[in-house]
Amino acid sequence: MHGDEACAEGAIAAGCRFFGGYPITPSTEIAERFAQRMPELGGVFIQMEDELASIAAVLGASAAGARAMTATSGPGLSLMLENLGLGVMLELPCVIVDIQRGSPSTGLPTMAGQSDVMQARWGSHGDYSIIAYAPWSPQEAFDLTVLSFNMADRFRTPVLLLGDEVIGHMVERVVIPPAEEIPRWERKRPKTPPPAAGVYHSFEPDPEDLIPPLPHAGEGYRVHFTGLTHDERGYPDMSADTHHALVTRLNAKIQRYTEEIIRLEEYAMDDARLVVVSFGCTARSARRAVREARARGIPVGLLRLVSLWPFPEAVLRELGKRMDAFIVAEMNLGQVRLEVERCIGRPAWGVHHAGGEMIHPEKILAAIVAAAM
Amino acid sequence: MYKEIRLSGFGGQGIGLAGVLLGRAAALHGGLEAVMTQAYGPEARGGASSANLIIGDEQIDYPFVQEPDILVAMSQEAYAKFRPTAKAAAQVLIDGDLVTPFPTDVVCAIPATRLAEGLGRRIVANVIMLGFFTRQTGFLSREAVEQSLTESLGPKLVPLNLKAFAAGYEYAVGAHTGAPLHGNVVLCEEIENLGHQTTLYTLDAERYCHLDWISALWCFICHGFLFGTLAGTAAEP
Repeated sequence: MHGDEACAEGAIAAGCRFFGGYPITPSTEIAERFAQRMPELGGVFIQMEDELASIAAVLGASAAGARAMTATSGPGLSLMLENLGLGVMLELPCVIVDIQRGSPSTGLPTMAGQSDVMQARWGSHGDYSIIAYAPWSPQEAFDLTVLSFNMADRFRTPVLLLGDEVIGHMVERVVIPPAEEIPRWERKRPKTPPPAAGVYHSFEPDPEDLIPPLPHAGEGYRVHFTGLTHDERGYPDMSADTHHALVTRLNAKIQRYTEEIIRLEEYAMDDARLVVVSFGCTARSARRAVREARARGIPVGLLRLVSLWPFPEAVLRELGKRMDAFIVAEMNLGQVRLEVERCIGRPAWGVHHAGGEMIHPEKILAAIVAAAM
Repeated sequence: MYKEIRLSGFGGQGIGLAGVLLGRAAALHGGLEAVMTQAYGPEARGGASSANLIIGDEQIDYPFVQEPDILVAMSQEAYAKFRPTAKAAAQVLIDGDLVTPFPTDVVCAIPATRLAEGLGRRIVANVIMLGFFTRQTGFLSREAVEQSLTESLGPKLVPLNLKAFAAGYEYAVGAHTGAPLHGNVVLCEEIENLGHQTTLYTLDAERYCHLDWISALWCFICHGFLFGTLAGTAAEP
């Protein structure tokens, strides 16, 4: 099955029963799959009027207790960003899939890109932290979609899955485990029954992990949600202190658990003196290049960023002390390289392409050879 | 093992489905790794269509076919477009009724569409080609591909498609025993002997003994006409 289908199946296996979306190439097959599968599973597929409405519907479904998601591509993600911020502020778990294509603007609708990395991190206004994963195969499109739902519920936050057109449309073997083997982390739910009077404090953080329990619509809790800075009841509170406390907590609940969230894969790193950093489809070319460089006796390894955000700063800082050179391969003009250089404190080699076709292993190999000299 | 494979034809022939069936046979029943990519864009029924697979015994990194080791062409347009993209010594499988190969090319031919019409459904030509492919390339077992067919198609379609698959598979066997050949098509067993050489098929008596007499006569007439024309042209001032 191809990556888009695998992503939809991953969501369904994770218990997602609400999809609100506006089809866009190259993510359309995710919407198609949902449209096909939801009726037989008693779930909801809604094709909304646009991307703004799509993510709004997803946030509403999440507040009602559903595992909900939407899927789009760069131009659609641009439109969703305002309400992504609302999702962060209301702390509503959901998954937003971005199958990246050549950008900016309408760009290359049918061809791959990886240039939404920074948009995913910083696209909505304000200070917030986000979680994002980047699959490199249809199998991972399945697995990481399941993980994204679990992370979203665990941290009560929107999670992004940054795929790309190559992975979305590539057909490969996908193993779907039996339902009982699909991990499921539940949302933290209120421990107390609905109060007899007044509203439930749906933004009162659990002192242990800063994450407030989430009551669902229709369970009898009176709740209040607003995008304005709010107190623990969810009521607007226009004070600098409340604002600072809220925004700091929204970041801290993710930054405190980076080790739990981050996923990395190392290949041939044991005795490496050089390291290639890559993600998504480009990491496939990078692994080929590393194999070929190893065959030529160059001690190079691959660090694959399975998660993009939060960025694995500690790991890169540590590697920065040990490694002779860093090569960052990505289908954009240096978005991840910027982060790598920030962490290692010196320049890295970049293998970049603005998008449209996958970076060929030869180009990465050439950079490895140059860096090894 | 590492094979780059391009299946091609015109939109509507089921090239994409043939690719999926082949990939499933390899990845799910053949103990191999497989990746398939397809050209993605505004494609239409009738235009050149292709499905690209890499099948190997190790995990496949770079997923795109660059220089196919095996090319299947089920239309002239697809052959003309994709033959130059394949290795010079690529194994080339064609629908012999629909494709006239380049004079220097060495190919294996099966009249897949005609055989499909014989089975009553032209649309199973792709599966006939799949049977031919399986036998000619030899890296997948017949059972693996048949299992893939059985699992992937609706139950009502399975018997006809298994029949079509068998027709293609057994045609390949038949070719060794002197089935009709067209133009510069070489007997399948001879491909291996030719090795990496791509030769111009020349008319010689030995080869004609593989042909039935009507084909032989037809070839003589055509070639005679061709040479006559050439001679005539050469004589012009």
